[in-house]
Amino acid sequence: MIDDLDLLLGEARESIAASIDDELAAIAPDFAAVVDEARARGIADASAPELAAPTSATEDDDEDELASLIAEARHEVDADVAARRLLPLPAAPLAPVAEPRGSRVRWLGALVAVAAALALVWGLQPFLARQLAGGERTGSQAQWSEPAPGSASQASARDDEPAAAPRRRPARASGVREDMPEETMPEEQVDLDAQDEPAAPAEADIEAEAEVAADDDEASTGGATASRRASDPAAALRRLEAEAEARWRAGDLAGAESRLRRIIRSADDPQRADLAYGDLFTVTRQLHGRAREAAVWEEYLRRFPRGRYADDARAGLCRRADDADASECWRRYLEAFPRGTHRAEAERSSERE
Amino acid sequence: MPEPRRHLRAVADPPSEPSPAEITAILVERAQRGEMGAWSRLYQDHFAGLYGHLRHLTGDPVVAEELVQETFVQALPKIDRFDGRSTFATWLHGIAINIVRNHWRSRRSTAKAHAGLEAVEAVRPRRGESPDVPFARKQRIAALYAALETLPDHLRLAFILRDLEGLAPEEAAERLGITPNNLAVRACRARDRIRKLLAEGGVIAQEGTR
Repeated sequence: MIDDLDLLLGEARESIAASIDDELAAIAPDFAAVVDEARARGIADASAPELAAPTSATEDDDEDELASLIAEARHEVDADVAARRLLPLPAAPLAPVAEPRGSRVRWLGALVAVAAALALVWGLQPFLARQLAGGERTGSQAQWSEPAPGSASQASARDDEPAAAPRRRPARASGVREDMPEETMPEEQVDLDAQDEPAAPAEADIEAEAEVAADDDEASTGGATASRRASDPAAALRRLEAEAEARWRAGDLAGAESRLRRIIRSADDPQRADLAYGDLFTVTRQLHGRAREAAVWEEYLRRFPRGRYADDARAGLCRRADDADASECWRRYLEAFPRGTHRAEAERSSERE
Repeated sequence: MPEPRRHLRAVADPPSEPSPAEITAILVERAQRGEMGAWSRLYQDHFAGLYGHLRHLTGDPVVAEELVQETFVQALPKIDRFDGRSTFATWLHGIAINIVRNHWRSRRSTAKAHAGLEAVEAVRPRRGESPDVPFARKQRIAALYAALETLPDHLRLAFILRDLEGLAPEEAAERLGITPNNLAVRACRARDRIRKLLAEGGVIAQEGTR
């Protein structure tokens, strides 16, 4: 019997097929862009030398010099940013305006006005949204109850990582490459940065975007007044999530990371912490590289051995394990996740031994 | 039967052109040696199929195009490990599925998915109105994808491959690395949840009210 869902699916299939035809007619496949991206990540040169565009020795030297120059500049900027963050920090943006200063007064005034206006239009909101925010664990994830092995040797840099997160859209993290130097700032200092106030229009834009996003989020979960929001832990977490997303969009990976870390440290809502790790994996890789990402997987597994990403985190560690450890890692994976998403790969890897 | 195949083959064999599968096999072999031309041809040959696959999975043309590129970027260093046990397309689509799963993870927000459902509820066609109005149709499809966002990945993938992309059970199961029976169970569970969500959102009729 055909029901409404079947009708909708038929409609969707027809519409998507038509859209695909139209879209493909307008898209110009760009293999050169693939090669450029692979080269930028150091993939093409390592595994397929002929994929690299032919360049003379002089051009290579020039590129080396340019890369060196860029690395130096980046290092200098990072050092400046780190030094700035060591300075005493002003109060958090959402605190009542106590000691206004210059442009901050104007910014906070606008922020309060926006918050007050939005508070007026908040209405009744569905509860279902946040009930589902924690989502549902996959069957395979629910079966796993062992802690992760946490071996540092498992974080070796192998490329066979189908679970690696894709690049964010350019607008989300423009100008940020995966091979950026590692952040050396202690976590506590990063956390302090979360209290920093916007000092430039671009920063204000990020905060305003986060404000609106937090309002949207709150509007879908029951609403509250602006004053209550400042003291409500759930509202504070929602705001942190919105801030993290806004900063990520703006390319401020360190800012996004610090906010995700604050969410994760919050003991009030483990489900939100679990979710935040999903973003933190990608941000960490973009900001600090693959080795640090693997360390975050291990950290995650220690805290959420049955979490929503446990299956993938465990598999990711096995993919990056040394050849000597990989088979044993996959064997343990199969024990922990007999019906895991990556069991086919695990079985193949175990069999190879 | 007195061996008719031998006769037919004897007639047809000499000038036969390589099949598409044989061409792909040759190209893969060359790509494994790092030949850029072979990779370029593989890219051209598989772009449309991969785009269609990712378009179904993401529901977004811009994201789909971006993820096609990402799939090839990630496929480049892994080509050595392609052993021909599956087709090249299946192998490529497997990489794409992992990329999509991470994409979903990076933007997962059930609240937003439900916000999408609510937005759709506000514009859904009333009873008696034509559901074929383009905007309403677009909104209904958006509601379907919003509902899909609330599903766990394994159910979401099974549903999209089987019910939306319309793949045969065996092919969908192979791409997901599961058995056809397992796929059927997942797709069925996904359908139940999708139906319930869409009915609650007023996008489709509640069971028993039609």
